Amino acid sequence: MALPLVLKTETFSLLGPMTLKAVDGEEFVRHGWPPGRSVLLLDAVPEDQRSSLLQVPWGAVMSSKPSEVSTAAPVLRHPDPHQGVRPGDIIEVNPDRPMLRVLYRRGDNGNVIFATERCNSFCLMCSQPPREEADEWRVRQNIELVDLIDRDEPSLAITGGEPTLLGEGLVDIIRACGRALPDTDLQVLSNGRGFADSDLALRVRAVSHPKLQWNIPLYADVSAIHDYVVQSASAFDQTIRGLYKLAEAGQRIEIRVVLHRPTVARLAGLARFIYRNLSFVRHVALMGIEPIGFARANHAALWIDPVDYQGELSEAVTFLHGNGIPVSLYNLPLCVLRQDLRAFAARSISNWKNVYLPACGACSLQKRCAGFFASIDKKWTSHGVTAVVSEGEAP
Amino acid sequence: MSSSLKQQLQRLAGLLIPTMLTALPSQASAMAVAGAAADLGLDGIDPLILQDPLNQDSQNLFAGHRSHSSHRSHSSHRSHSSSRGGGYSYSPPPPPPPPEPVIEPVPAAPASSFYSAPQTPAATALPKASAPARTPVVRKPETAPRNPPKQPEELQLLIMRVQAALLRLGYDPGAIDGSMTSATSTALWAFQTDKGLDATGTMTTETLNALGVKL
Repeated sequence: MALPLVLKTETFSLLGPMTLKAVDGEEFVRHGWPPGRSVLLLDAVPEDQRSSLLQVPWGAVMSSKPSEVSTAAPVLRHPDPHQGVRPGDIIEVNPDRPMLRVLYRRGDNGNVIFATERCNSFCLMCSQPPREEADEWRVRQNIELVDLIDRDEPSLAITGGEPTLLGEGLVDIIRACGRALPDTDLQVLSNGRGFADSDLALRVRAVSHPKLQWNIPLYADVSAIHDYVVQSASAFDQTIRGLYKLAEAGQRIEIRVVLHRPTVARLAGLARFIYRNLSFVRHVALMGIEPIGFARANHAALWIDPVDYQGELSEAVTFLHGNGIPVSLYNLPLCVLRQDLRAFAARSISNWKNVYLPACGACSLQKRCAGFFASIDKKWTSHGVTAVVSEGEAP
Repeated sequence: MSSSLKQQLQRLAGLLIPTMLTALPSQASAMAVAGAAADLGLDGIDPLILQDPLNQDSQNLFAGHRSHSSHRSHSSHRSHSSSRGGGYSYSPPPPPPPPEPVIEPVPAAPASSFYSAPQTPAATALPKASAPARTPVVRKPETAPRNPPKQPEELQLLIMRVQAALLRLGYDPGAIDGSMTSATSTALWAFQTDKGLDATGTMTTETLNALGVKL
């Protein structure tokens, strides 16, 4: 089970919010993160070396016995569980709160750069309901964060909220990623509307990030359904024009479709629409719904058991695949998928919120199955969930 | 276009305007920084496994650094042509600046291919420019691009890491203060002797490798 991302702590002589790389002696020696932007995990340092290592001007020091630490730096109480902060992680602390937030977990497959709480859509199934906030500080914090992320991090996502609402701030973050992490795949989760009537796509192009991809949701081939799903008039029109602007600017694009009652209805039509009008997209991801946020409130409007849309799903997948558009299925357990669709399924759920059900214990496919979101409950569980005990399955 | 949408767009546009106030470092100087920082090379290494040789592709501009009391104004830390002691670990000068990166339109994938992790066409691959941790960020106009990177700070940090490494291995480098004190130099010398390395008392590349310090 994944470690929590918010942990209890206590801060001493911390003057303002800080973003800090967690290091022990070995991490400092090997990677040399700037000490002023690091927090020394004192418990991990052998006792006879502590006083020497405390001479380094750390940004902060973390210890389970803060009162015994003699240092000029701010001191943080090491949270329980003790493994909650490990060398390589990045934490945020604030003197106003007895909590620390883990912004980056070394080795996790779901690390994100959270761009903003604001959004210009209001999707029925939003897993991260938007909130108005002044978010300029997030740009600065995220750029600081990027500097401290492991250089060998395979992939990161910029998410929100709607990242393009940061405007030039988003461009700055992408630029920072390109400089500090040129080998890291960077995916931005955006509704694409912000590109329609601006030159944002050209400004992103100017950054020349080598491994950037835009993941843009499209929910139908007609505006009525798409605008209904995102609860915003003209959204379909803006997203389509935004997609063309991005394509024109040479950007790599993935289309994302969350599968629920309103989108399943015209799924095959959407697949044809993508092939005819958006043939430049690199990939189409058809995704199971995450039962959290607004989705929970809209269960009646959204829920359709995945076993009941296998026909539509198969038609869309077969069409896209057959026409050379790479397609994947995210967030859907293998047992509810028709045999011919299982090859398209990916283990897509971030570690920290990925669970399996009791039935999965006996399943021969569990190792390559996406499993479920931790927020799942009975109302959101397919009737098709069952242990697959099979011989004929290709691994 | 509805008026509320118009307002929304205007708000958006308002957000975008500060662009013009933002000082962009020129592509050229950014490339120069990348070239100068040539392979701080922090990538592709499992942090838990000591790979040897650790700094095979890096240039060690610090190898010649000997003990003294002050670290200000040591422009000579940069001078790779200098023949000061430790020239032993001298590495070749930085490669010429890489060509301008180009983003090509992405071709449609072949019909048979399953999607796999996004691949970058070769033409778009940027040279590895592991930026120094405090790469200037465009927001503040007063932050001029560092060209070349500030050596004294980096040297101080490197010495601190070497001191911490010596401490971990049971040698006494004196205070961990980023100064190449005689205690640190002596500890280095002792470490090098024990490991059968060239005993220079300086931070040669093979010494950094043996200490687990990544350049």
